[in-house]
Amino acid sequence: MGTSSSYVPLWCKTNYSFLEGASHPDELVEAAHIHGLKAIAITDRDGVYGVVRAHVQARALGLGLIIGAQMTLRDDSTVLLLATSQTGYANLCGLITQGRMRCEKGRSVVDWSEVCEHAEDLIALWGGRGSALVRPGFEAETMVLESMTDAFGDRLYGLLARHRLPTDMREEGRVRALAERYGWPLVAAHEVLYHTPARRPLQDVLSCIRHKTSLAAAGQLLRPNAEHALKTPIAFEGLYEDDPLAVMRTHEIAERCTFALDQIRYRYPSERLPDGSTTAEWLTTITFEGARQRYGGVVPEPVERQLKRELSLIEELDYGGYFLTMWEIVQFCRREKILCQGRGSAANSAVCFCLGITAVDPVRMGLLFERFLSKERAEPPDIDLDIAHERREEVIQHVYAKYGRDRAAMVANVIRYRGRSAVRDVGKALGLPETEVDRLARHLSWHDGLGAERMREAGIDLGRPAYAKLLSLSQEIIDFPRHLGIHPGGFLLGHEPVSQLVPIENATMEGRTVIQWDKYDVESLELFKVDLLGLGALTQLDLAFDLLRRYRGLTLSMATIPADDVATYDMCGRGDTVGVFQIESRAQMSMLPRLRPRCFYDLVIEVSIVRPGPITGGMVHPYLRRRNGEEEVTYPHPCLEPVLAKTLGVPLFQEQVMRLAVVAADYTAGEADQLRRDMAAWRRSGRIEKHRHRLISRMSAKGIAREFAERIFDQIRGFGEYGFPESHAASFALIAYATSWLKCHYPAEFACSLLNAQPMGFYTPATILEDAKRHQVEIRPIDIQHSDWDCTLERHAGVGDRFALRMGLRYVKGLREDDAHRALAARAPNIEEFVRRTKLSKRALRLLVEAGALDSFGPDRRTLLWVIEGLSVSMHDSLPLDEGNEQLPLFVPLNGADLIAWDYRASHHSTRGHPLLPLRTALSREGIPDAVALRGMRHGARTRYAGVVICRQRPGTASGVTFMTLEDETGFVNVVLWKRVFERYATVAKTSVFLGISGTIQKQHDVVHLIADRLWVPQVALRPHNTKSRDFH
Amino acid sequence: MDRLACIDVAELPLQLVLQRYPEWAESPVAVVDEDRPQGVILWVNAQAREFGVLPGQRYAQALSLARMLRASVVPPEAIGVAVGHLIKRLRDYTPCVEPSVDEPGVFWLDASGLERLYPDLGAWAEAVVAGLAEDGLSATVVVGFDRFATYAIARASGPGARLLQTVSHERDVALDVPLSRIGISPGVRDRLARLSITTVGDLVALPEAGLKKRYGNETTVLWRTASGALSAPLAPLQPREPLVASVSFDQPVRSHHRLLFRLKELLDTLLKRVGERHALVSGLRLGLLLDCGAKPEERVEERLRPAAPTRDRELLLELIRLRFESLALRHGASDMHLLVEDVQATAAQLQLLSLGPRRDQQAASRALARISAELGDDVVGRLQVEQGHLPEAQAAFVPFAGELPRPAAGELQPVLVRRVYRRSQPLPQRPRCIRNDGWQPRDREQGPIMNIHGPYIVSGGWWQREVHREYAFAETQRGDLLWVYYDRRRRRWFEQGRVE
Repeated sequence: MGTSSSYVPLWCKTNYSFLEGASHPDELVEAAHIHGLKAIAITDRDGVYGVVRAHVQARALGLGLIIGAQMTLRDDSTVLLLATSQTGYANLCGLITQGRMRCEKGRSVVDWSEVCEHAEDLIALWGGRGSALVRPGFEAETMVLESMTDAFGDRLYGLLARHRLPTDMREEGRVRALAERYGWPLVAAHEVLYHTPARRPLQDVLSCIRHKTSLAAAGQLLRPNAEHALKTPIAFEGLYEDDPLAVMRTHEIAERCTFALDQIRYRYPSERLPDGSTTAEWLTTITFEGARQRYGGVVPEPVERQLKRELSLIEELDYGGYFLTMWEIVQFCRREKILCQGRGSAANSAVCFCLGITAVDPVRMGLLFERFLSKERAEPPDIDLDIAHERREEVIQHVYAKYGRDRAAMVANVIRYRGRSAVRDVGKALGLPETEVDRLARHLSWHDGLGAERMREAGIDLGRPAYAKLLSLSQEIIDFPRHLGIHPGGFLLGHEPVSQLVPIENATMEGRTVIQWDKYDVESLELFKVDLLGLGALTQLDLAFDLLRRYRGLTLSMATIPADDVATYDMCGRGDTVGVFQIESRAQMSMLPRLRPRCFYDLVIEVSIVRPGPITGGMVHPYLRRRNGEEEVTYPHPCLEPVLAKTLGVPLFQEQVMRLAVVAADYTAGEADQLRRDMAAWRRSGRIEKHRHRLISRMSAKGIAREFAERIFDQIRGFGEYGFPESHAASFALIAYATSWLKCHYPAEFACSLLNAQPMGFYTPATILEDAKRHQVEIRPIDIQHSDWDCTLERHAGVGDRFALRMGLRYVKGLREDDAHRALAARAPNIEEFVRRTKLSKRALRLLVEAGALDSFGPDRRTLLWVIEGLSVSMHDSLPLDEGNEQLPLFVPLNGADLIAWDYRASHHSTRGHPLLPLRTALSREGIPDAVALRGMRHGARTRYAGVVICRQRPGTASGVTFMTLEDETGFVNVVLWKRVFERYATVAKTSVFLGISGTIQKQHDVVHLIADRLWVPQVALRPHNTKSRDFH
Repeated sequence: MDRLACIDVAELPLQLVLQRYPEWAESPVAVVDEDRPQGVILWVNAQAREFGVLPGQRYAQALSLARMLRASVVPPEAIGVAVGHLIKRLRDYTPCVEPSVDEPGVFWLDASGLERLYPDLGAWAEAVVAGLAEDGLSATVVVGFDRFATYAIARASGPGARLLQTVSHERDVALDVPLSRIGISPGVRDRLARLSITTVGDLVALPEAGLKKRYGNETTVLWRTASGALSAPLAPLQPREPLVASVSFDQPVRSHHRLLFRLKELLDTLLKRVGERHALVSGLRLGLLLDCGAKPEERVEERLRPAAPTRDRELLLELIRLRFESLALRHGASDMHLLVEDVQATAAQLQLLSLGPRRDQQAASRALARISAELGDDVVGRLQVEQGHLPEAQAAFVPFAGELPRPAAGELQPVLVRRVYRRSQPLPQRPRCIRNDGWQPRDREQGPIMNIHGPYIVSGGWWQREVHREYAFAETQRGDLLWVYYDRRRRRWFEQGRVE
C-alpha cells in the first residue's frame, strides 16, 4: 500500500442526505479526484437523490462512482447497501421505495426481512455508528444475524468505522467478534460528511437545523469532532495502520460494484393498441387522420412529406410511445373540455400539430424540426403541455390512474436554500434573536444576494462575531438542498415500475408521489419526462369563452377566433395590453408602440424580442430600425437571405441561429443542435468558443467576408441565455392574440374572466379593474343581493349588448368560500334575517360589512358593523332576533376617501375610485399632473409626478437601471431610475407605496418615460391605502 | 378636594430596553412577548408608532410597516424589579404610592398636602420628573383629581409635569385622549376605530348596554371608569416591614451559650409575627456587631436556610446552634440582630405543620440542611448529567435543591473507575526527544509515562470558544493509568483524571 489511491471511500453522505451532509455531490467527487482516489461511493440517507450529480461529475473526471444508500431500519439502526449491478440498483431503489412509501414525507424505515429480500446484487456494509451491531446485546439477535449472512453471503462485510472517538475501539470490538463468528470479511470506512474539514461548522449548523435546536443547546446531537472529512490516502492509511487488509478490501468492493447510471435501460410505456397495430402504425394512422382534419380533408404535399420524415425518425428512435401518451392526454383533455396546448420545441413538429398537441402549423411557419428531434442527438423529445391551471389536477390524476402509481410518478423539485431561508435557519442555529434575524431576512430580496452590504443596511453589526458567522455560514449554505418539493407538472413514466429506476416517495400533497430526482437529473440521464403545466391564461380563455356563450350565445374557441383583426393589432400597437398574455409587462408595453404589430408573426417577434438574448445581443434596435425603414435590410451573404429574411436580416430566434450555422457554415443538424446547447451554457462553460473557429473558417471558405462571419458569431454569442425558440414564441403568440382579441372586442368578458382566473398574470385585480374602467366597462361593487362567488356580468338596462361587471364575493379578503355560499344562499330581506339565516361567524360578518357587501341592508357600514356585532351575540338565541328596541348610536359616516380606503383594505380594490382620486385636488393644487397630462408633455420637459407604485423591476440586462410603473386614476406612468438615483433614494424607492418623482420627460415613438432625478414622499393630508406592488420578481 | 397624581414612566419595558441598547434610540423599537417573528408586540416607541406599529400586532406584521423595527423581550422579572425600584424612588416624594396592576410604569400618588413642602404642586411634579430623570427614566406626571383622568392624560402627554387646576378642565382634556394611548385591548381598539370611536370621549358617548353586549366586561369597566360611574380610591402599597429583632449588650458578649440564649428570645418573637402573617420561615439572617476595642467594629453576617420553609422552632434553633459552633468569634458582640425571610405558606405546608416528624427522605434533606448550616451552603451539591462532549460538560454540580437522588435499582458497578478532576491539571511538556528520565507526570513517584493510547479527539465550540483536545490514556512506569489530553489551542498537555 502507500500508493496515492490506497483506498476507496465507501460511506459518503452528500448534502442530499438532507441537513446532514455538508458538501455537494460534485464537491465530494472532485475532492476524491484531487486526492488521487480511483472511486467513491455515495451513500445518502435512505435515498439516491444526489447520485446523478455525482455521476455527471465522476464521468467528467473519469472517476468510478459506486451507488448506494444508508438504510434506516425499523429499530432505528442503519446498514449501508451498495449496488454491484443494475439488478442490485433496482433492488436498492425498490427497497428505498418500500421504506419511503410507508412513512410520511422525509422519513423511511425498512425491516430486516425486506433488506434480506432485496439482497440480490447488493453489498451490505454493517457496522459503525448507528448500526445495530455496535449495540450491547445485539449478538443475541441470531435470527437477524443469520438471515443477513444467508441473504448476502460473501457480499456482507463488517464495517470498521473509526472517527477518533473513545467508543470506536469498543464498538469495533463488537463488530470484529460478530464478523469472526459469522465469517464476514472486514472493511475500513469512516463516515464522510464533507469534503474538507472547513465545512465542519456548516455540518454542525445543519445538525441543529435538522434537530430544531441551537448550537449552544445541541450538545451530543453534534458530531464530537471534525473527523468526518474526506481523508487523503495517507491519513486514511494512518487511521487503519493496524489493519491494512481492511483498507485493501475497499478496492475489492469497488471492483465488485460495476454498475453505473449509464447502464440504465429505460423503456417508455407501450400503449395498448387496437387491432394489434404496432406503435408506429397506430401513430401514423392517427397522425394522418389528424392531418386531414387540420387541412380540411386534403393533406398538402409539403406537410405529407414532413410528416413522413418525422414519423420515420420517430420510429427509428423508438419514440412512438411517447407521442401516443401525449396524444392520449390531449384526447382526455378534449373529452373533459379542459383547455390545453403544447408549448416549447414540440411546436416544431408537424406530427404534434396533427395530433392536436400543438396549435401552430410548423410547415406553414417554416419551423425547424431538428430543434425538436434529431438523430445525432438521439435524446428524448421534450413536450410541455399547458393546461388550464384550475383543472390541471384532473389531468394529473388521470395519468396516475392510467399508468398506475408504480409506473408514473412526478418529478421532484429540490427546494434549496436562498438568502432569506439561509439567514433564518442559520440564525436560529446560532441562537441569535429571531426578531433580528427576521428583520435581516426581510431586507434580502431574491436577486440582491447575501452580502455584508445588505446586512449593514438591515442594521446588523458585523463587528459582532456571531453576526459575522451568520454571514459566512449563510453564504455557504446557499444552494444546499433543504427538502424535497414537487415539480409543477413533470411526470416520469416507465414501461417497468419506475421504482426500479429511482425510488418513489410520498409528497406532502395528498394523492401525489414523487421520485427522488429533479428535472435536471432526469434530463442528465436522458429519460422521458412528460410536463403537464398549469397556465392561468388558458383558464382565463376557458372562462371567457364560457361567458360569451352564456351571455351572448356566442360559441368561440382558440381555433375560431377571427384571425388578423385590425382593431386588435391597433390596440396592441398602442401598448394597451393590461392583462394580455405575455405582452402585458412594462417592457412589452414600451416595445409595442415601437414595433406596432400588424400580423400574427409580428406578435411572435414581439413575444421573443423583449428577452435577454436579443437585448444583450444588440439585435433589438437594428431590427426596429429596419422595420421602420430607417436602416437598409442587408445580409452578410446571399445564402443567408432565406434564413434571415423574415426577421429583416437580424437573427431573433434560436432556430435561425441553427439554420444559419447549417447554411453558412455547413453544420449538420446535430452539430447545429449542439450549438444550441452550447449557446445556452456558454456563460458557465465557455463551450461556445469552440464553435468560433469552426463557424468563422467554414463561413470564410464559403466566401463570406471574415468581418461578417465575426459579427454573426458575436450575434450567436449574444443569444447566451436566450430561451425562446420561434416555435415556443409562436405557441405563446397564439394565446397572446386570443386574449388581445377578447380584450379588444369584449372588454367586460375579458376583465371578468381575468378576475375569476386570479391569481395569474402581471397586475393586481385593482389595476385590472382600473384598466377595465378606462375601457368603458362599468364595474359594480360586491353586493350580497347581486353578487356570486365569482365575478359576473350584468346586462345594462336598456342597452342590449353591453354588460357591466359585478364583483364577486371571492374578492372579500379572508372570506371562506363555504361562508360565501351560505351568505349567497340566504338572500335575506334585512340584516337581522341575514344573520339569523346564515349564522355566519362574527369575523365573516365583519368581513362582508367592511367590504361593502352588505351595504344594501343598512344606512352605512359603521352602523352595520355595530349592528352585526350585536346580532352575532344573540343569533343563537331561540327567540327571534329583535334588535329594534336598541337605540343605534350615531357614527361618523364614511366619506368618499374613507370608502375607497375601506374597499382596498377589505377587498384589495375599489369600484368607487382609484386611491388617488380623493387626493387629486390637493395634488393639482401642488401643480402635480395626472398620468394623462404627463403623457401630453413634450420631450425634455421637467415635471413632478405622484402615483401609487404598482411595479418595480431591475432587469439583469439593464446595467443596474430600475424601472417603476406608477399608477393614478387616469393611467400608468413609467419611471426610469438610473443606478445612482436609485442608490441615493434606495429606502424610499424600495419601500414607499405612494411616491413622488421629479424628473424629465423622455418621449420616443409615443412611448413616454419619466427619467427620475429625485424621489420624495408626497406631503398631503390624506394617504392612499397601502396597495400591492409587484416588486423585483 | 384631594389631589392625586398619575405618573407614567412611558412604556417602562421599552425604556429598559433602550437603557440596554442605547444605540437603538433613534430607531423604531418594540418590546415583544417572545423572541419570534410571531411574537406579539407589547410596547412600541414613538418612532415605531409613526410607521403605524401598534401593540397587539405580530412582529412579522409590524416589520412590514417599519422595516428597521428593532425588538427585544423584557422578562416579567426584570419589569418587576424595575417597578419595585420605582416604588422605592417615588416614596421619596410621597408615602402613598399605588402601582398599576396592568401597566408597568404607571403609578398613582397621593399629592394632597404636598404643596406645603414644595412651592406648589407643579413644583412637586417637576421634582418627581427630575428625580426619575436622574435614573435615566423619562416620565410624565399629571396632577389632578380623578384616577382615570390623570392616567389618560398622562398616557397621552409627552414627558414632563402637568398640573390640572379644575375638575372640569381635567375631564375635558381626558375626553380628547385617543383610545390607542390607554390600556385597551388591541382587538377592541381596532374594532372601535372602524366605528370612528377613537377617543375616550367617543367611547363614553356609546350606550353602556350596547357596549357590554358587543365588547364584553373589560370594555364596559373602562367605559364606567372613563365616564366617572366607577371610581376606586387610592390603594397605596404598604411597605412590607422586615421581620427583624435585635438586642444590644451593655458589655460585649463572646459566650456562644449566652448569645444563643438571647437568640432564642429573638426567634420566638419573630416566629410569633411570622405566624400572624400565616407565613413560614424560608431563611434566617443573623448579624453580629463585634466590639474590637480601639479598632473599628467588625460585622459578621450569616445566612441559614432550612431544608423546607418551616415554623419549627426546635429545628431552626438547631440550625442556628450548628452555625454558631462553627463560628470563631475573636471579639465579643455588642449588638445582635436576627432577620427572618418568610414565604406565604401553601395549604400543603400548613397541613404539614400539624403532622409529626416522619422517617423519610425529608429527614435526610434536613440532615443535608444541617450540614449546610454547619459548613456553609456551597458544600452540598448534586451531580447532574449534561449532554456535552467535553468531560467537564458531561456532568455539572448544581446546588442541592432539597431532593435526594434515588439510586437506580440493579445498576452495575463498573470494573474500572475513571476519576475526573474538577479542573484539569497541567502536565509538564512532553519532551520532543527521548531523554533518560522520559516524560514525567505531575506525581514523580508514578515514574515516567511509558505508553500512550489514543488519540481520541473532541473538538468544537467554534461559535463561542473553540476547543480542540486530543485525549489519550497514559500508562506510567508504576502502572498508573492517567487520562490526559493535548490542548491544541493552548499547545500543552493536561491531566483530566485517572483510571482506578
